[in-house]
Amino acid sequence: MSAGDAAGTARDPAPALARWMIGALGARSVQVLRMEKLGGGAIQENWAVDAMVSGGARAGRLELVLRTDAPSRVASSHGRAQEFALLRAAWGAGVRVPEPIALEPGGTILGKPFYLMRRIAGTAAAHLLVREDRWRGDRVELARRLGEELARIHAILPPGDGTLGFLPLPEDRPGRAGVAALRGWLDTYRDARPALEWALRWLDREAPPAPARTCLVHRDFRTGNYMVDDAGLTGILDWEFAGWGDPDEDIGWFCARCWRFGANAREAGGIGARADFYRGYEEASGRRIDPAAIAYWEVMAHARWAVVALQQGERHVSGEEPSLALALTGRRIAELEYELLLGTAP
Amino acid sequence: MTDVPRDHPDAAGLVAAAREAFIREIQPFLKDDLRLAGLMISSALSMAERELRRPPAGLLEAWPVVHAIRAGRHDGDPELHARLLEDARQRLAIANPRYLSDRE
Repeated sequence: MSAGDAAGTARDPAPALARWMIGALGARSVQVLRMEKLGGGAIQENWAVDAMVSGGARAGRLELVLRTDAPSRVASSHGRAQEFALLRAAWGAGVRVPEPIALEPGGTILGKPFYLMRRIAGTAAAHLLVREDRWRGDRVELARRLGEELARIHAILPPGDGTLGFLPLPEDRPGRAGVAALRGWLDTYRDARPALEWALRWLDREAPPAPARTCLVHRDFRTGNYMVDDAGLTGILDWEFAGWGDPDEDIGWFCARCWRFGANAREAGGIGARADFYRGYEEASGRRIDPAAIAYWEVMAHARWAVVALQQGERHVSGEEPSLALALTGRRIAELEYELLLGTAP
Repeated sequence: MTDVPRDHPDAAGLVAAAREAFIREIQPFLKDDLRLAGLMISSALSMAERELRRPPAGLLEAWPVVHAIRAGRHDGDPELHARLLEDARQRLAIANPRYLSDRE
């Protein structure tokens, strides 16, 4: 199988996967019963894998997700080996995440690295979770619980459990470091973006001091990146952007208008009240949230989203990955720059 | 208005006709994943029609403005902020007019 093959397109990858799983799980034999590509994931590919394992600690039927790279990636995301280490650190800290099972970092089995995690129930579909008529779960409890989970993530402090050494510590105020990263990408972009630059200048000037406690920040903690079933939260997903930083960044990202999926009155991710989310966070962390600091990070959230929108649009425009969905995401830049200007009025 | 002969319908008219035909004749038959694709197609056609009918005026000399912003020469400048906001408003009226009306 060549390196460019997606799992399963040219040749059935299940036998090779099963052989590798025997060693990775310490099993006597492994039979892959099903291997099916799941939708979603602009950056990663996810496959549902059902396997029957004989022998070893994992004996029995395993329902798994195999996560690997999609054809193109956003430059700032971690590789699969790093993502696996983050998932393990979160699992170890008691965060509700899919249980990490095994990592194949070499790319020798599928032509690219991948890892396995336990499959969790529910949906992550944001447009369903924010709509009252499609999801009748307890919004107060979900918002509170998400605040509590975020506090657990933020209880992970550098250097972590010894496997997170690849994450650099911020050398500057995290806000300024964020601005520098976004400007760095804009320097490679074809067009001038005055509105975005205006907002970045504001973010640079207004950057809060380094946090009292630098901690693990998920950096994509939002509706769409956690799973919910009828009983509530089943897991926090998508750890590929995590790093050391300011915990308020995650709170602002979760509450920012651009992540409410149209349900703007529910300021906590479009699914609940900000007060419930904050209460869950404050009770679990013992730290009072400063609303002014969160307002800063909500502006930063729109700036980051704006750059992602430009990047996704560019994947289409460059011809690298022609896609109407990417093209339309590119045009969301207008809405994001408009919000940035409202949030930074002199 | 003009002496230059033009063929009709113009580009905006063609895009509008394509969108209307798509919505009326094709979209009702789309199911599952294709329904989302259908929504994206009609959305893109609507956006294209709006842009063809009223192209944004655009900000002149965007690069010098960007360099001046980064150098701090526009910090807290209400005049530039107002120009940038008007430009964003025009682009948003093309990309997502409902978002704009909900917000204003």
